[in-house]
Amino acid sequence: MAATAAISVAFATRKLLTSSSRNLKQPLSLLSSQRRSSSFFSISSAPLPLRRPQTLRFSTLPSISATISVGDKLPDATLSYFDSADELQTVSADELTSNKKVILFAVPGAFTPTCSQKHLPGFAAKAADFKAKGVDTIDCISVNDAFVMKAWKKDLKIGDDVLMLSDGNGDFTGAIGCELDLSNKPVGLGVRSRRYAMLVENGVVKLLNLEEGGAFSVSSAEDLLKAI
Amino acid sequence: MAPIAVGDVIPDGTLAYFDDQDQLQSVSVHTLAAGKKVVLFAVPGAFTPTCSMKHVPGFIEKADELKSKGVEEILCVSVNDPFVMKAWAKTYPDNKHVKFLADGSRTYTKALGVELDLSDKGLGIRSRRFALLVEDLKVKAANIESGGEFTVSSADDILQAL
Repeated sequence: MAATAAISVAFATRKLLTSSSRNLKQPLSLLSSQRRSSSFFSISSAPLPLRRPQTLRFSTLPSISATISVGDKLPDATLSYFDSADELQTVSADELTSNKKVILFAVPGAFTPTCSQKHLPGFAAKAADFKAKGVDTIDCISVNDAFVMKAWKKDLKIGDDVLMLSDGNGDFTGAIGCELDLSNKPVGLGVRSRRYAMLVENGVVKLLNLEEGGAFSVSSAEDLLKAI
Repeated sequence: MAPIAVGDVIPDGTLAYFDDQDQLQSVSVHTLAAGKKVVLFAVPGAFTPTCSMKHVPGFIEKADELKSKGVEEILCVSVNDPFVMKAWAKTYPDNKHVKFLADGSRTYTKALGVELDLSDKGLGIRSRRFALLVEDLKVKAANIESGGEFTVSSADDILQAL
């Protein structure tokens, strides 16, 4: 769609200042489809952020969680979703992942171009392949409310192979240190999640493909399938 | 801060939307509303039941009647990003006049003093439901609900105020 190219151009040239405590300037390529990294993927070559101290406390800022890493246990946080009977349910990260092999992938925003056109449908299309590799559930997370997640799932005709989870208040995203601050953008997205895809076994992160912002270079279904 | 009231001049602010060519546009409220009669109504959330099934359809149905009474713009605002607002607007193919505007960073909602904390429902901070009749930037009617209920802020309520 021409819109995607237009938005890609608009955002690819912006610089993003993340929260002051991190003191990082990094280019934001929110909605650009970057070229894929080489076909062989390994954790050591992933563009992961530097290790940070566990929490940073400032007098005026809330504590900020370190970015999650391979080997970490997922923090406790609650997510929500509409079940098949249209009832709003809440679920903890623990309930989602204990005694299971789970794929968790996150998008910066429901209905945004890269997410809608590639990331989510990609995982839905590969659901059978993931199941064949022993994955129990595939969960999509975004900092959007559950109503929006439900509408997005319907819009893309995603079946029940992917569970659409709302991190409406951004609690889970914050707890794993994957926030993406887009508040300065004119488009009004607020604080969202960086794009990522992870494999979690019994609550522990086994694989983590984390993008710098909303880039789409290492976190696709194909990338994860190759790494499992 | 106190919510917007009759007699106030509405604050200026920037709202966003994607146009028919999918280009992001931002618009100043004052530019949209200066010298005109406009209706500004807000919903707590796109795709939520009351908003979707009652509040918005009411304004879409009564748009022609509102226009015949001199209303030039009917603006629907929500604390959602413009991607979501555009997707939501598409679910109303018969809509001709209502503009769906995103207050994604909540700055305009805050300026109006109508924030609504829905964090315990996983919605974060949103806007109270309301409908305003504004003439040349001056508020003539301010029908503001205390939360998300739907008792005074419908299109019919605004029609009665005209």
